Amino acid sequence: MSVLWDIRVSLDLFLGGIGIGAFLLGALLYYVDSEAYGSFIKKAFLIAPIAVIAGLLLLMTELGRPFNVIKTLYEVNPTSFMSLGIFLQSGFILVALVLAFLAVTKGAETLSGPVVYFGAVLAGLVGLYHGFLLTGISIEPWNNAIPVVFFVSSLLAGASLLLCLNLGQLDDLATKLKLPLVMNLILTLELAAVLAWAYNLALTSDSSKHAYEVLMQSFGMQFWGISILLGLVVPLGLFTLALFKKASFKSVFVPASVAMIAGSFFLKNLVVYLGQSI
Amino acid sequence: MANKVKCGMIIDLHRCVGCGGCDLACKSENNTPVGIDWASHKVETYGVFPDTKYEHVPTLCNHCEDAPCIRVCPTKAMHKDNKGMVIHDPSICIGCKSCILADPYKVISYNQQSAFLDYVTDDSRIVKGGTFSKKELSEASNAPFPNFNVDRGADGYEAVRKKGTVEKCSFCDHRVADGLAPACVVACPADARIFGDLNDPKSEIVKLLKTYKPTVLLPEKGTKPKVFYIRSFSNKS
Repeated sequence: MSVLWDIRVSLDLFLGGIGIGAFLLGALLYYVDSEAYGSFIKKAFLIAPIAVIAGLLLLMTELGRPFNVIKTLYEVNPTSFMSLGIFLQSGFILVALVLAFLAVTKGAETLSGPVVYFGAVLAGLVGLYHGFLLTGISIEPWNNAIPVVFFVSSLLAGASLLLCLNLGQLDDLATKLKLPLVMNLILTLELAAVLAWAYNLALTSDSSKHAYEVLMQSFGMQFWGISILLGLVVPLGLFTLALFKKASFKSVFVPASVAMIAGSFFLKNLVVYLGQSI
Repeated sequence: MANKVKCGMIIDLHRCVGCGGCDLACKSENNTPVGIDWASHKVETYGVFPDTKYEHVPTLCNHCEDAPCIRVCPTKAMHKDNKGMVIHDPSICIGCKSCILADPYKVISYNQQSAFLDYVTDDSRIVKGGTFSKKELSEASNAPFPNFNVDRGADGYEAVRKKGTVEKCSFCDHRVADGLAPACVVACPADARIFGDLNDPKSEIVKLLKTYKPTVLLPEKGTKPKVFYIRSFSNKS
């Protein structure tokens, strides 16, 4: 299929999502106990800018004239989400890199609380921007549900990756942060958001109904099989087992994380491609 | 204070004979290659025999009042000029293609290829010693090569279209700046295209809009197009 925005855009949204998800979990742990979770926080603040930069570099290769990107810094269009997003992402990368440098060289506990908070606000805005980039185009199926769907998906994927890299502290975190319950809640929220998006497409207008038909006919397997079943329902089931002590949280966490990370990518990828297939 | 100039176009579908002269005039004027059509047309046959209709509708950029392409452009490369025309500035375009995705009329194209330079680079001959190469022919005749347009290249406009940017109908702004009508308007053998100032009550375009009830493409999109169609044969709308 010939598309204007190919897999590099999907990867940018996915990697950017991993970055902001990881950062937000790192910021949360900084406020919980920056000394106890020092190495965790360091990894979070390192992964965040690297993932976002990697995504942006991929995106640059997709542009027709990548060197003109510098001009977006002074030719600002306030009605363009892409224009605003460039500033948000630049700001986030800058703050995240500074925090990563300070966390590695001086320790996570020495970081400034307000700066971490500012970074978290930027991370949140970048997370929302990923969805608004599509919503701003104003075509079905890139409707107003997308920013929420993408943001929650990013939280799940980024947090999962980071927790997988810190399995040593997983049991401690599971107890302190009630992770099985929290993950179940976030997964349920994402499931509701994705289903609401699809339901909205199926009912709203002629163009949205057409988008729903294409979703079912051309992307049905990706949507139901990978994004919903593998990416959300399977982890939800595994965490529910852990919640009711039918399995240990640690034993289900890695397979659930792999499923959530894969689901996040496939969900974003199918949304990007679906919008261009209408 | 006099109203600002706001350019628009009427396409009179009773006069249009569907010859495609506008499409060709645009290609000639703006040097667009195969696959990129700033001016085009759509044809549709509908109904059930014997009550069938054939419709030929010339299409081009609608130079919308509320242009989605302008809204999404991250650098203001797509912008409105002082005559209300939606113009693209390739020098600041990053080639993100957001405008193409946002454009409901699908009249913006992405230029993936370098300019066609055969006539300045190709020195191969079909019959060695017997025929001119394209390069020799171009040099001997002192003719501009096909994708280089002297008019288009004047007054700060770029003569050679750039790879990696988008492009679309400009209402021939380079001609309008010189007091001329767009090439498609001049080329139309049936005078089906009327170009003028929508803010000038004495202009022909305003008079025609008052005389005939105009339609626009995809009115439900709310983009307020400035290309109007009058006297449609269609009874669909």
